[in-house]
Amino acid sequence: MKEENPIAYLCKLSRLELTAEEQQKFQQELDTIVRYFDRLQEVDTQEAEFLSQAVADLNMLRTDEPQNSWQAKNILKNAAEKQGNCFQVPKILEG
Amino acid sequence: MELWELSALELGARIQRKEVGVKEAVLAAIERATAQDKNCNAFITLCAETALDKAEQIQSGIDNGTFRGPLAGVPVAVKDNICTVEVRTTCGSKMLQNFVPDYQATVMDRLEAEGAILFGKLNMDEFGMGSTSETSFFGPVKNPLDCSRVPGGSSGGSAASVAAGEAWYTLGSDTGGSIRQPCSFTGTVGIKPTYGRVSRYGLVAYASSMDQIGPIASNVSDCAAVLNIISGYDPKDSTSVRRPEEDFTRGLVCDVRDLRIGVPKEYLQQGIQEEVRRAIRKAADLYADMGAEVEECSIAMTEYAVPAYYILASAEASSNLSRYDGIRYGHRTGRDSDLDTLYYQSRTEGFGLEAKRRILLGNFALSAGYYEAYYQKATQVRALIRKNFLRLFQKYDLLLSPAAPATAMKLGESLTNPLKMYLGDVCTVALNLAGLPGMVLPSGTDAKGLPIGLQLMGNAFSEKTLIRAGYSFEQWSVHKEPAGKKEANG
Repeated sequence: MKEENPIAYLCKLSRLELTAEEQQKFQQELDTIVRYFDRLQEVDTQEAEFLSQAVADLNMLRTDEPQNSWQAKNILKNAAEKQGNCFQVPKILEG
Repeated sequence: MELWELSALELGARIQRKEVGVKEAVLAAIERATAQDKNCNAFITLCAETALDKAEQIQSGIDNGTFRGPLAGVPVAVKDNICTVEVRTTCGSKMLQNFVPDYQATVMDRLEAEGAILFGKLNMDEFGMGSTSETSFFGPVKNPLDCSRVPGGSSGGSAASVAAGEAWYTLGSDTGGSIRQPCSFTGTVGIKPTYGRVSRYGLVAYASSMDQIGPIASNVSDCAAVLNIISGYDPKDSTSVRRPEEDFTRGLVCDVRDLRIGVPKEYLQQGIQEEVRRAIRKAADLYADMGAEVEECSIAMTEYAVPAYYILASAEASSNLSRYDGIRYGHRTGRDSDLDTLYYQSRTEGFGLEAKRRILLGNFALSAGYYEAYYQKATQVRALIRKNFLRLFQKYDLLLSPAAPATAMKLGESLTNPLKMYLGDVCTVALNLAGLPGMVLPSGTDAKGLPIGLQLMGNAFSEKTLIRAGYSFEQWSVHKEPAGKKEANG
C-alpha cells in the first residue's frame, strides 16, 4: 500500500488495535494472500460486467405497509449500557 | 433400535403414528447430545427446558391434527448464526456470546409452523469464517468419525451433530462451501440452495451476496423434506425470490436416465487426493451404469474462483461486521473512556483472529487505490465464472465433482497457514459466486476410513433435479454404509 505503515492504516479503517507483534504477523500474512489475489490481474475482464449480486436482476421490493415494530425495552436488553430508553455512550461533546 | 438411529422422516412417521411421543423424542435428543457431545463439541447451547415445554404443545397439536407434516415433533438444532428468539445466538464469537435475539429467522418461523422443536444451537467457525470449525470462541468442533480430525466448516457443528447421531437433522449456512465441505468430511448429506431460494432474514450476515441457509441430514429424503419447509419467498429478505411452491420430495425418484451429467476435469486435477479422485470417477461410472449420459467437460476460470471469492467475501464481511460497535448489542469493553476507545477496544476484544484477518483484508480490497484492482476486478471475474457455469448448464443438467480436495485433516493443521485453508475451498466457492445450488452426499471412504463427499452442482432453482440425482445415487450406490450415525470415539 502507498501509506507508510499499511497495516496500521487498515487497523484504523477497521477500528482494530493490534500489538506491534500482531501487526507484523498480519502484515506478512496479508502480503502472501494479496500476492495470491494478484492472480486475478491475468484475467481479461474488459467485456465483463460488475456482478456484486449472484443473481443480477434480484432485488425484490415490497409495499411499504405499517407493521408492528419492536419494543424499545426489548431492543435495549442486549445493550451493555443504557439509560432509560436510550443506549448510553461515552461523552461525545466537550463542555 | 434407539431413537437416535432413525432418520428424521422415520422419527416423524413414528410420532404421527403415536408410537413415539414428542416429549420422548426431545428427551432422547437432549440425553444423546449431552452424552455424545463431550467428544464432539458440536453444541454451543442446549435448550432442554424450552424444548420440553414446547413438546407438550406440539404433541397436542399433533393429537388434534394441527401438525400433520412429516417432521412435526422432530427436534432440530441449528447453526448458531441463525437468530432464535430468546435463545442466545453467538455466531461462535465472543462478540455475541451474550446476544439473545428478540426476533427470529424466517427459517425458524417456518420450522415452527411445521411443529419442529428447537433443542440446541450448533458450534461453528466464528461468523462463518473458516473451513474447519476451529475458529470458534467456544472451542473447536471435532469430527465424530475421528476425534483427532476436524469436521470441516464453517457449519461443522451442524454436520458433526448429525454424523454423531446427536441430531436427526440440522440447518447450516453456506457462503463458500460451509454446508457442503463439512458434509463431505463427516459423511452426511447437505444442500446449498440457489441464492434467493431460502430467506436470509435472521441469518447473521457474513457475505450477504453469497450466504444461504440449507439442510443437513443423514440422507437425501430428509434433506428434501427440510428444504420443503424452509424455502419460499419472504418479503423480509429483499433478495428472496418469488417462485411457485415446489415439492422437493417429488424428486425422490430413482431414475437418472434423462440426465446429462458433466464431469469438469478441472475439479479432478492436481492437488486432489488420489482416493477422492477415484471415488468421484467411480460415482460418474455409477451414473453411467444407471443410464445417465455422462461425459468429461471443462469449465474455464475455476483457478480464479478462490481469489475472487476471498476478495468479495472479505469485503462484504468487513462491511457487515462494522455494525459491531459495542453500543447496541454485542461485546462492550470496560475501557470506554471515549467513543473511539469504545469502538477500538470492543472490537479488538470481541473478534477472534480469523475475523480480524478478514476485516483487514476486506478493508484493504475496498480502500481507495485498491478498490478497482481488487474488489471491482473480483466482481468481474465473478460475472465470468457465472457465465461459464450457465453456458455449461445449457448442455448438462448437472455437474459432478468432489466437495473438497481431500478428506478431513487433523485438528490444528490449518490454523497456522490461512492461505492454505482458503485453497481448500477450491471445489465449493465457485458455486456461491454464481449463486447456484449444490448438494453433497457420501461417496465412499479413503484408506483411513474417512468419508469422501460427492458434489452435485445444478443450474439455478434445479434443486429437484439434484435431489433426484442424489437419491438415485444413494439407492444404487454399492457403498451401502449409512451416512454417519456413529458413536463418537474419544
